[in-house]
Amino acid sequence: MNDILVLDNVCAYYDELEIIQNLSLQFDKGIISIVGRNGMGKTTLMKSIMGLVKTTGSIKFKGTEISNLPPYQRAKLGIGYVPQGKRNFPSLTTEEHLTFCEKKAPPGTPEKNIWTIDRVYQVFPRLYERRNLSGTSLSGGEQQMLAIARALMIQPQLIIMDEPSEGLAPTILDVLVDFFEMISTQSDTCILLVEQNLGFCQRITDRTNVIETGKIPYSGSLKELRANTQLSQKLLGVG
Amino acid sequence: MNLSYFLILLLNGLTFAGLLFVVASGQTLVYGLLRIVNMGHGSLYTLGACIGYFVYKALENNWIAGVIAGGIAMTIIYLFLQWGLFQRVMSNATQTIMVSLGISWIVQDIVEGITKGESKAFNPEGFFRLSIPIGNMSYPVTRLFLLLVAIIECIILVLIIKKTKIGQIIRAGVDDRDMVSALGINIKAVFLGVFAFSGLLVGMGGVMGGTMNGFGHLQASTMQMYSLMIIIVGGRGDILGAGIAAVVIGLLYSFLTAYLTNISMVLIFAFVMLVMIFKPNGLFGKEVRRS
Repeated sequence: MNDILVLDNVCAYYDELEIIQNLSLQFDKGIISIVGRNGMGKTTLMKSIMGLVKTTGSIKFKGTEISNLPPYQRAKLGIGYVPQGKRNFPSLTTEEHLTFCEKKAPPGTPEKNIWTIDRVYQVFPRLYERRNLSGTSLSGGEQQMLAIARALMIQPQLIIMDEPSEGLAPTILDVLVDFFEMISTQSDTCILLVEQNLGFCQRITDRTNVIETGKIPYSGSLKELRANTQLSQKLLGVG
Repeated sequence: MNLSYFLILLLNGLTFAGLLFVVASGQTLVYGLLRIVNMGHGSLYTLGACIGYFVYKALENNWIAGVIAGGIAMTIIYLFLQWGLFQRVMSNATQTIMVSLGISWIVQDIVEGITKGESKAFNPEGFFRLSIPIGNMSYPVTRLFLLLVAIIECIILVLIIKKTKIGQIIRAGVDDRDMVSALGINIKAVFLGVFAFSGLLVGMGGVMGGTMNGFGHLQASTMQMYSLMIIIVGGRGDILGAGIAAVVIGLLYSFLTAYLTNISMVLIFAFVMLVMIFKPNGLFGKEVRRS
């Protein structure tokens, strides 16, 4: 069985500026998080996986080399992207967000991994209530749900999420925690979660990687990392 | 004021608006979605008129065949332009403008060569030769046909943009094209289709506009300028906005040239500049993400 995602010696660039240097990461299945301070390359890492920035090195998705593929082909292979800041479309209604990129699951896909608009509405009933409103007229929490729901509609095997907790009220965070719980118990979908909010992260998964200036200096238990004041102070500036 | 004269001015304004809409509606989609300001659009409009003219002549002044031929020829040329040129430079705005300016000059010279620098005119046969009497004046059918085409095109485009999946993709792409491609949609193919479609419109518009005003290389810069005005006033990528902008500018043009001939262009430009200052995203525009 192939790992869902393997990064080997990945460097990423904005114009000529190197943001990520020789980053390697192995992700087998389930949910893992990537934590780190601001400006350490978290968002760039997400964009590298999605093909939205220039990279060198190898990125393998379920054993297939994807580093030379354009973003749309990576999405077609089964990578769902929930970007930082949600990036919903002002010109589309909530429902249109879900239908315009909807992909049929390939034949033989187990029921639990098939995402239909009805199932997505069951997971996020609030979106059903708001289905005719513009994607950017929703509240922050609803917009985050929409960004996640939209990613589900492409039938992803891996979802990469960039700071979903950003700017959200605690009650909405509870909804998101329930969502992660549901994903891990009721489907095989893997999630790579980038977060700054360690408490939120801890509620979802203990498996973490710290990113610091584009490298991964720590990989292991988040709980242990947070207990180790000296280390977390050094890597995360907290503790 | 003489009523039939007023009616003629009104129709002139509306038919000119129709032409502006046909020519600029494709370009506003191109600008909104691909972020390409195609400075060659005006020249290619006159090339479309030339190609349509050849077919029209070859088929014994068959005007409608000329319109269709102009459209098809420009669709093909636009496909090649996007595939061979723009697709390769479009990540760089300055390069895109330089490339399209280059196309503009080259095509303008070609058209000047073909027409030998003269302004040509269509004299259609049969139905399209007719005029409709208005008071003591008469109004050519070809102009009214152009207005009809523009209205039908506007309705169809608005429906496509509002109701269909490709319309949803185009709207989303105008908002945030990177995000659209990250959702599994081949945005390059969509770009190619939209660009070719703008070619179809400019080719058909070339023949219809060439019938209205005559055509030659000198029309290139005028049409280019008006196309840009429509995009600015209507808001990029906004079809309905382009339609309304075309009507406003068409009517301004018609009535100002009739009553304030000397300063008509000054006033039209003043209007466009005021829009740019107070509504930088167009009269009905909203914020769009730059990516």
